[in-house]
Amino acid sequence: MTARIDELYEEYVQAWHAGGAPDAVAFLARADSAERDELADMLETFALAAPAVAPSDARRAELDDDPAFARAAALVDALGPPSPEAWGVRLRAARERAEVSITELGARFAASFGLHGREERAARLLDDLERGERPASGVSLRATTRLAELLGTAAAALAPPAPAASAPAALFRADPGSADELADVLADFAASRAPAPAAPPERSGERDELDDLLLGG
Amino acid sequence: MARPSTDPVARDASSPELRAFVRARRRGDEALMRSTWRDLLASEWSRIRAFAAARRSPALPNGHLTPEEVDELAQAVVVRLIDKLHFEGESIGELRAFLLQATKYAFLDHLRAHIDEDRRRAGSFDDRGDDETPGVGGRLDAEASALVVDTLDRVVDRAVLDEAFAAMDEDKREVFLAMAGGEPAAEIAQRLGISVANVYQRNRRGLVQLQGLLEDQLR
Repeated sequence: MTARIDELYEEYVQAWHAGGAPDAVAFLARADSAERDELADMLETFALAAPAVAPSDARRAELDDDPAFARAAALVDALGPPSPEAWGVRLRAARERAEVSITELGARFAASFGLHGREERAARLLDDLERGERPASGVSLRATTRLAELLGTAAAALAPPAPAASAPAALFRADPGSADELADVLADFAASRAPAPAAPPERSGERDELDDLLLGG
Repeated sequence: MARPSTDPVARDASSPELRAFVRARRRGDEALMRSTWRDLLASEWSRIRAFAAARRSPALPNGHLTPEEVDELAQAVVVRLIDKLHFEGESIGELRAFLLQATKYAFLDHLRAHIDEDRRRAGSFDDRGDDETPGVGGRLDAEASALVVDTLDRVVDRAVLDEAFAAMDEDKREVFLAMAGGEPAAEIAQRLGISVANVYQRNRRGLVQLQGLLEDQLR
């Protein structure tokens, strides 16, 4: 049976180089269940080393019709500027559209995670985030997803701001920065995503799940 | 079709999509950035999907992500790519590093959300385990801790890859690089005077060895 995953791997690699933009999910679905993990490791290791190859025109047309890719591409079109404040702008826009007060949102958010008694603090942190007084880089994906659920809006993007309210700032930084600056940005990003305490706790000595969810765990 | 390069990373420096994006970013041309960003996403979509599909954990039913969850994970990676970091690198190596890292973090978020759901359903879900047998939460903590020591800009850049390739056993490296570069197994077998089965075997062993070497770089 191992020849089967070898053949699948070879087919995947050749499709990659030919601009076929192969989908690992589809290849893994064709593998025997007992060998699926091994093939997954093979494909990941290849992807770690593989060059960038633009999809062929035919494959690009297929991708545009692929709902998963279409959603990802829509994020590119929809997401606002990347500054920490921009996330707050989007949160506020989504909340106002849902006609939910910040107090109510805090209460619902805390309750949804079973954080009873933390409703006020959740509201305060969300308010800080909306106003850009806390870095949005610490907001976890599950917090974003939950907020989107509570506000009845698109999960991944937390709904973009309405065009009229959209900040006109550049989507990306105009200045790519020096290599050192890039290293700093990467290090800051890694720290912000690290589970060890990275953001200062609001109250010394006390960190709870709210900190993990909204300030970076 | 032209014969593919036998060096899988030989075209690193010539990703037209990334170059176009970097040029647009330097000029501050928002419209062009949006369009080039979309092209870049298209060219990297397979890599994102491969990283996402490879994730697995005992915390998940059957240990694997469903195709729908892979979709969600890929979306989360794209959000991070655009919104969290506003990617500023200029090389495919940096982009690869970022994508892998973003996938791992997004996966941890996914697992934590999954455990939250278990807790809610079960009422009291002790997921920490003990010193000898860590529970799911304990394993997650260990995995997250391993990520802390990781730095994004050294994960899979060209120098790291070259170092890893150099450390591979020669017979495995030769076959791996040829196959990863797109040379058909049958041609490799003929060129090296070995069987196709042997090509596959060396390739698989090469992949395992390379994976181990790259993981060593992360520690």
